[in-house]
Amino acid sequence: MQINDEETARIIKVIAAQLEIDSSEIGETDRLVEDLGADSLTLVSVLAALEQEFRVGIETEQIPRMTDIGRIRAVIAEAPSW
Amino acid sequence: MPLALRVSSDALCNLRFGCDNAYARDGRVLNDYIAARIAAWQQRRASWGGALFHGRARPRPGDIVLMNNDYLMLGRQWAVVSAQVSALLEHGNGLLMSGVLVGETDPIRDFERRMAAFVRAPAAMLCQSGWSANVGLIQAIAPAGGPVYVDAAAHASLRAGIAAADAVAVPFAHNDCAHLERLIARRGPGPVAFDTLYSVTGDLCPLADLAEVAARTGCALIADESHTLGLLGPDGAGLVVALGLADRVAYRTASLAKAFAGRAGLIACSGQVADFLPFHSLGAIFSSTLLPHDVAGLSAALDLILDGEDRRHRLARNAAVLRAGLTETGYNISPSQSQIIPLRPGSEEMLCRLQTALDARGVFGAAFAYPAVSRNSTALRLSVHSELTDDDLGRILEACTAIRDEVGLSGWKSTRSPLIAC
Repeated sequence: MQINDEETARIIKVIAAQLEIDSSEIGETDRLVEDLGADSLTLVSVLAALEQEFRVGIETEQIPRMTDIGRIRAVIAEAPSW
Repeated sequence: MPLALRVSSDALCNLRFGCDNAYARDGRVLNDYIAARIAAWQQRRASWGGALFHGRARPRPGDIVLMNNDYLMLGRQWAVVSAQVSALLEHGNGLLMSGVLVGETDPIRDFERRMAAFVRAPAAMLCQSGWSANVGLIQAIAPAGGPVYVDAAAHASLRAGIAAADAVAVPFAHNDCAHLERLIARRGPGPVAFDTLYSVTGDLCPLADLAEVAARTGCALIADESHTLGLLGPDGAGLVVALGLADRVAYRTASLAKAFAGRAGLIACSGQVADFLPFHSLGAIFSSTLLPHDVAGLSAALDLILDGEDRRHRLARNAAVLRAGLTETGYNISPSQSQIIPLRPGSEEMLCRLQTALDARGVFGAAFAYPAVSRNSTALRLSVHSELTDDDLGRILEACTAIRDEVGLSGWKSTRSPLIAC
């Protein structure tokens, strides 16, 4: 699936909710762990919330790839739909 | 240093680390790996700006200690202590041997039968600790290479058990049964491991929903009741019994170093599994069994727990008063709904500042830092107990109010952005 700007905004909104920060604090290249303070527990929650939001299946093995918005977009684009 | 000793140490070093260049100039055995880890640890400790663990002030008489998991305050009860002393005088340290050698008439077996009846399970097995209960159980029952679903916030011992089984840990989002069910749909059935009450955040698991998912998907539940056993349900039998789900939770584990105020772990399960575990759980085989006075103390604690409705009532009331007071004072303690109440300052440096400020006012919480939590999600856990007085609760709230500016409460992430309720 192709990820457009509107869907990118939805990704950022999901991540912001899980990280308990405002969407405006998340930049395209900010790293979830190093820059935004995500931990392993939060990353699993982000993954589950993205699955729910986009109705796709994302395996936990993808977490190491999901380091910033661009890479998360790529993971969602490859993920199979429900 | 004598040559023989050097040769001996060198051989030992090679065995342990597989390296040849392990000698530092002063003769200590350190290879690059452990030297780097120690340096990182020293650097991390220095970043705290104070004494977080070692070097912390000891509570003085009259101070309020909230780092103790003896929620019903049974550890100093005469019935418990005198039972331990009597057992020590009668049996000394007993027989120091593997649990596989314990006979059917041993007091350990009697206590296991009492505990099985207490938690409404067909059978129960004692272990050396809650850690060894979780590791030993999962290592023995989970197939290598198969999935074991585990709540992302569950106790580290459950993950250690999965690793020991050489199974695949599949974390699901904390308390998110929908995510769990999606994962099972993709990967197939397997054991599902979780805590009934989470030891840092103080929130309960959605047990009824987990049982529904397990029934729909053919999975077996592993519920760690460490922080609910003795406290919830009829006679304190735990959350599983409280919700009438004893028949739907295949395995229950617990540390008995909480409400039971002792030093042991428990696995409650079917009779067949209990018969199998002592001979397949490596911790049971390769560790010495419990000592007679451990078992005597636990048995006396069980008597008090069975008769502990007043204490449980006081515990619930004290916890509710403190949760409400802290919330009113401006602390975001969500999602706590129990006697475990976390203050979440963020970084380890802020945690150290918070602990120092409360210690100075005679209120001692338990610091939680990495790897118990992530580096930026630290917590000072306040463990409420049943014997706190109104005066104690007032002093805790007074101290927490007084330090708000000193610890920068308004700037904490947990203050600025409330945790999403689970």
